[in-house]
Amino acid sequence: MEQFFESATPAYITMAIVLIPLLGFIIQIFFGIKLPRKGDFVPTTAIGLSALLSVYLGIQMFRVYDPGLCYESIKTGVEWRWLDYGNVKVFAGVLLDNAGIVMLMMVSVVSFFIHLFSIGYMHGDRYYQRFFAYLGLFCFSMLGLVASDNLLFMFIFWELVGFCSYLLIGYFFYEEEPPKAADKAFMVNKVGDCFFMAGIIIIFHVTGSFNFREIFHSVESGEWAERAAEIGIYAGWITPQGLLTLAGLLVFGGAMSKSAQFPLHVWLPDAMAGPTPVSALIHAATMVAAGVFMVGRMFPFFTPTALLIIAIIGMITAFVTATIGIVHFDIKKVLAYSTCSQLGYMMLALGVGGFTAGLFHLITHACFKACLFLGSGSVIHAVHTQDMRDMGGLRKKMPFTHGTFLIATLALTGVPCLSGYFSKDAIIANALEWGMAEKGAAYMPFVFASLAAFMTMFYMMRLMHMTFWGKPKNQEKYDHAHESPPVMTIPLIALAILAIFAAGTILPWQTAAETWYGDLVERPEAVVMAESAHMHDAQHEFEHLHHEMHEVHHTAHYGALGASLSMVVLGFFFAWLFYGKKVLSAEKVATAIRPVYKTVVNKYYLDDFNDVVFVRGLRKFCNLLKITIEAAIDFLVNFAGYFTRFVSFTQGLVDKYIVDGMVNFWWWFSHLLASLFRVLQTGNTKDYLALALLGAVIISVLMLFV
Amino acid sequence: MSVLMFWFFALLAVVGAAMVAFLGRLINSAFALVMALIGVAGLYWTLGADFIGTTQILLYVGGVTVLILYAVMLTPKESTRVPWIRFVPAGVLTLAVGILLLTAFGGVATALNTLHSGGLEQPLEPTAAAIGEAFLDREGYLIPFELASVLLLVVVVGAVFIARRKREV
Amino acid sequence: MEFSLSPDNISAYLIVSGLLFLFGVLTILTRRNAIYILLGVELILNAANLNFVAFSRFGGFGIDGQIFAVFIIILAASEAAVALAIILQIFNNYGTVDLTETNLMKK
Repeated sequence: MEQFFESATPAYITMAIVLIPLLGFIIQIFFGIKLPRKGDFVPTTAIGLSALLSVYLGIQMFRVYDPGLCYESIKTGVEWRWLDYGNVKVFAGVLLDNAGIVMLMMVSVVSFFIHLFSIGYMHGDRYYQRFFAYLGLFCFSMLGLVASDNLLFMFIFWELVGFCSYLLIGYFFYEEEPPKAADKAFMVNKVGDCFFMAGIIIIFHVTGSFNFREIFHSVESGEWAERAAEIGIYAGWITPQGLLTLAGLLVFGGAMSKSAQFPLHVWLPDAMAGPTPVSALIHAATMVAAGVFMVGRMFPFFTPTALLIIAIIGMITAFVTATIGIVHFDIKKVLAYSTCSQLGYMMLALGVGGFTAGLFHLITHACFKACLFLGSGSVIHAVHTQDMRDMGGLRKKMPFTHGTFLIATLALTGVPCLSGYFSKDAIIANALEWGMAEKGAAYMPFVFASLAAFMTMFYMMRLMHMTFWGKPKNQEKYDHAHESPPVMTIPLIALAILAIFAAGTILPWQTAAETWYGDLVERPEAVVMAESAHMHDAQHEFEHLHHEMHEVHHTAHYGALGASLSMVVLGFFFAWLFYGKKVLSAEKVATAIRPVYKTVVNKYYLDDFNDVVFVRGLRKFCNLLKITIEAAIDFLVNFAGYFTRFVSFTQGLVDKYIVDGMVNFWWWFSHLLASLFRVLQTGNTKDYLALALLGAVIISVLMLFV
Repeated sequence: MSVLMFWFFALLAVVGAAMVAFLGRLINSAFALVMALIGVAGLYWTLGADFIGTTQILLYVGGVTVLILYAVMLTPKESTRVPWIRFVPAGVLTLAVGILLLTAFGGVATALNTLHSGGLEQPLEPTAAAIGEAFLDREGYLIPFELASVLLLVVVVGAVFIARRKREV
Repeated sequence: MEFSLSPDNISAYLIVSGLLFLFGVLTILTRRNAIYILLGVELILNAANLNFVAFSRFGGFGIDGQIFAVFIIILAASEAAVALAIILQIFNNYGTVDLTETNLMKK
């Protein structure tokens, strides 16, 4: 059925997938209140339709089963003329490759289950219909992001997704926490977006296009090198290769904030102030994954240096956020830090060249993390608290929740046979390969990834012990707890099933590369090569690297397998020691390493740093500006006043002496003339006669002699 | 003979005029005016304007003088002695006018010397018929003649009106 | 300029009329009595009349000068009548015909 992907049908289907949720949003936001059940079925049905359509696309993809599938709607004539004047032409279309189609499927299906869950979870909320409307808007934005074939539209949807996040985090606007968290999320995201936009601008400036394929072509054919050398702004201080790295890093900056990489991750834990379904959908499965997905899309564009930095940041994120996750007691915060850590894993994978692994982990993570969040939502719904110190022994009271939660946890921690095992193992294997190929300090990603795996297991088991196992710590809450209604448990079960089978296999000896995903999604060729000497090095670098990595592939794989399995076991064991048998005491350890503990608990003082430097600093600066401007304006206004008075005074003088003087002069003059002429008016007839005669004489003289 | 006539009447006129100007009493001046008017009439006769001369006697001496005498009688007699000093400014002005006239007349006379002989050669004829014809000639002075009669009517009415005893207007 | 006082030259008549005119002006300027003014005006009119007739005779103007003279006489007579009426009225109002006393304007 190759013809399917050569016609315009996939484009239309994709547009339907993207736009149906938007329609759902429009209907819901205007008419939701008036519909029965406050219209919750409208967005749910919409996303359900999108899910069905994307599954249909997925089926087509499986039929074709071509790793090189790259469907561009522009080629089939389906495009939208966004800008077209002079030199600037932006035509937007749909881009579908295997990774993208899988992403569409994941987003729509997971969203659908979360919609179902929300019907139960948000039941009775005062602004019920608004929640579903926002969910619909978000789905539209996310699906659009995945389907875009150019950076501009991806950025537009990127921003839209961030905006929906703001709306949904601040959903409980009448409380104190959510609006602040929403602001924080939006602001931090904006920082990253600025970098992203700078990167897009540089790319557009040099290549003249936003379209992914055209950008890659420009770099590959050497056009980038030529143009970058020509343009004066860049030619002076940076080589074309350096500019390429810079643009790549700036673009990655956007991913840093969206996908919560250190240090721009600070918004994600606070975002837990939003409703739990929101946390599940946006801050676990989809929106935060957008950054990873974007890095995947732009993968051919990154130079080795850029990828190195990506890997480093991913590594740091994975490790540091995992450490914070160990010490928190809020169940959602633990899961939030877990998300940060896993995102770090994904970035790490992409940085070391494990393209398939990273994106695969994205998909599997979406499934089990969403399940975990919804499960926590189920728990919170039951015990009405988020603090794990008030929980315990819920295993008996909430079997379905416990069961699905356990399955998802095992998947997250990389226990064999479950989907997470395949993806996580692949990442660690790739990290080891890279380390072995590059040697020396390049082993660090592997080491950190392994340590993070240990900590992942540790904190998840800690969570399990504190929440579901052991004895209840708060008897009252325990008594009230009950299992959630089916509308909430069915999505949990569905997601758990996905968490198990997403890899398409449960045989532990298979690797990710052998899964359907590994078949369909291959690392794209980097296009970072050109005629200049520098570029030539990059090409060689990559080829050399990948060659080396391939050599050590099998060795690394077993090594990684051993490492990750041992981490799993160790983590389980230690967690059991601390929280199961209570042989070791967490408090004692905390007291022993008190300064370290304090730092970690305070999230490495990042939030405080941001607050002091940026928030307060900005406030002081604004205050200063205000005082300065006020002083300036006061001065101006006063000056205007004085000046006006001065002008008026002068004018008064002029008016009094000159104008009046002129008038007075005429008065004086006419008086003078009048008194002269009055002499003639004597009233005496004889004088008049004499004057008449005189007049006659004068006239005669004039007539005779002139 | 004509020279003598001319001189007689000329003197009559001029002396009469001088007497009007310089005599002290009004009644004396009035009679002096009569004398001057008769002199002028005589001069008309020497110029050959017989009709004019006759009309002068009739109208002026008969009509106007009688009117003046009426007025003189109806108004009180006052001493009308003119103080000597008053003649000075008047005299200056009169002198100016006189020089003017002299110049004017001199010029005219010079211009007319060329026509001098033509005028005198014509025999003097009675003019009444000619004047009468001119008055009734359509291309002549018919209209002014008629207008003059209207004027006289207006004057009569106006004079009566002005001289009313009671001033109501 | 050629002056001669014989009646065959116009200048004689012009001098006479000029003198008459002068005396008329003098009368007007020097007298206070209204009737005197009238006398002076009559003198002036007659002087002009004499001029007309003289020119009619010597200037080759035919009969036109004399026609004018007739008209002047008519006008002079009517004007004298009106003037006398006015003088009578002045006398009725002011009680005098002294023209210096008939000044209503404030000094």
